[in-house]
Amino acid sequence: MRKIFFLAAILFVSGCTNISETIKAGLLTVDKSTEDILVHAELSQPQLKSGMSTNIKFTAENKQQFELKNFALNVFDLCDFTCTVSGSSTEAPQFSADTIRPNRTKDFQMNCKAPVVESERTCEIKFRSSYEGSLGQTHDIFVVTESEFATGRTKVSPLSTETKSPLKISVSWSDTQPFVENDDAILYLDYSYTGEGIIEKLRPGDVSFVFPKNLELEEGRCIDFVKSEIGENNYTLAKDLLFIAGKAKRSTCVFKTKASQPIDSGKLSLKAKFKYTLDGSLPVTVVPKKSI
Amino acid sequence: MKKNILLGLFSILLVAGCVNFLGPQQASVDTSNIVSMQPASVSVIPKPPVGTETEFTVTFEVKNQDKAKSVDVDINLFDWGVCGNPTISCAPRTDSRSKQCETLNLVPQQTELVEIKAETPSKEEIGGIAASCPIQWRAQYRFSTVSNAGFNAVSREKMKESQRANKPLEIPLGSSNVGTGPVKPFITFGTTENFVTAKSPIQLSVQVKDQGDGTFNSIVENSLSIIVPKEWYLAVADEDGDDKAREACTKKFYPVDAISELRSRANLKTVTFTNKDAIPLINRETPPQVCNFKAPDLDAENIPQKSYQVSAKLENYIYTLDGKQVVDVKP
Repeated sequence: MRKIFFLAAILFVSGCTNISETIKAGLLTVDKSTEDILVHAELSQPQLKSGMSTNIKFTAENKQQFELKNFALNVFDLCDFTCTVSGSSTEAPQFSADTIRPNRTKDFQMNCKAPVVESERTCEIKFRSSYEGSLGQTHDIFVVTESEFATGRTKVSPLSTETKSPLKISVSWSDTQPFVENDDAILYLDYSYTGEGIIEKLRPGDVSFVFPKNLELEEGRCIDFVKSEIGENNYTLAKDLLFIAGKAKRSTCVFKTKASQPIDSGKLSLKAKFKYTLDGSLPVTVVPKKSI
Repeated sequence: MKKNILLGLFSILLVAGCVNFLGPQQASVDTSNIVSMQPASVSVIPKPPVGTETEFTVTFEVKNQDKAKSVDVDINLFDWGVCGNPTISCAPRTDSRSKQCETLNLVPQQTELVEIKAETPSKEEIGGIAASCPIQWRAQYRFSTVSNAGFNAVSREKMKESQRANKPLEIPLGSSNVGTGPVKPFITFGTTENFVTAKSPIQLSVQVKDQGDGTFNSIVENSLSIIVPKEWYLAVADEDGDDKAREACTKKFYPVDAISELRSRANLKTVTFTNKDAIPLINRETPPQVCNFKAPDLDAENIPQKSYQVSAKLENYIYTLDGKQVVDVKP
């Protein structure tokens, strides 16, 4: 019993000693992440004296199974630190990579010298990363003939697939499937995004879809989209869709259904690309040198 | 019984171990008084009332309470009433016997003992009735202090972006420190938030207050500096002209650096405004010294937001602290 008490007391005493550090030594890390990417920022010394140097390292990791394009990282608020990238001084360090391959990382590093301060200064070194992500979806479409519908026995299980992405496009229809031939089927596309970052807007050409032969689309009946020259049944976004509070205006397309056999199945495929922007910051404290 | 002893021992260890639990022990230093001469540290030997024609000693401690800066303190004796042969010595230089100490150079947290010796008057001099000697001394020291405040500018694009995304702007609090010492500048901004949007006016005011136990009457010319980011200054110059920029902190202050130099030298990041004339303290504070600047056009530079630091520096001001000890004399 006595041993347990003593041991507990000693453990408690030893446990108390390390809590009171004033100058934090060691690494400060900040992670910003989406379904696509992990941006990892590392500051070697989060607290340092005037004029001392510290290293800042950024790592961008592609979490997807496909390439991420046009990655850019811009350190836009240096808190008066003087930073050098590859030996040359820069006011606004910028890093970029045309592509980041699947499951690969890109590293960027800079060395920064703390400004001279006469009293403690806390600040946040701010950075903005952006990349071009993409999204793919497919949706089964079943159209039945009127006689097949009349049997009342037709059951279909339309399947959908989609890649993981911070951009979400919800595809819904005015009626439940199967559709009956020669009827109107209205497609609704609802756009939103998740995560700490921002998608400002979807630009013309950023979203496109190809619809199957069991659907028909008359010109002008798909608001926001125009027929693409690339291929038949291929439509592409024709105007900017601005995100407000994480959501953009819904797109609506009115199709006419067709059935060349009792149960006519097809697949609607949808692709989107977007620019995702993630801001982050590394808190840093600069303390003055003693003047004795 | 044994169990109680063990419990007691455990409690003691528990407390002992946690002395530092909440970080380093901060001595309860009042940063308003860099040099302390607390009355509690004054002692008189022999204990008053002191007999006539007797030498007595008044001692007190002088301490530099600052944790980073050294302070030079001058102490002189200026009143001893009917007592005679006064001398003052500041240990460890005990041989210097005069009415003024050699300058005491106190490193941070250093304490020195000051000793005043004098003799009580003769019975005849006080007419055979009880008297007292008011021993008075004055300490003066030079001190410099700097206060700073963080402020931010946000681009219009970023503002729009955040509002559209319905996400709050992440504006760093930044550091706002009020300097140490009895006299210190206080910086305030004329906005409710700690940021403005790009190209907006930035109004700041600096007020110097004496919060010490001593006296300080006036800020001498060229000793109060207001240091702001050069971008704020050049934003005024670009939009309203150089003359307007030079008077950004009223005509009482002038910019130390030439605008042309600020424009050409990329490594110059701040501009310093210094007071041309003395600024008196009324009721222990100066009137607010107001400056008007502008936030730069961050949108043009494609910078979403930027944090800034403003400093107000009061250099080499002389602070005076008076001390007094009355020594009663019995006939």
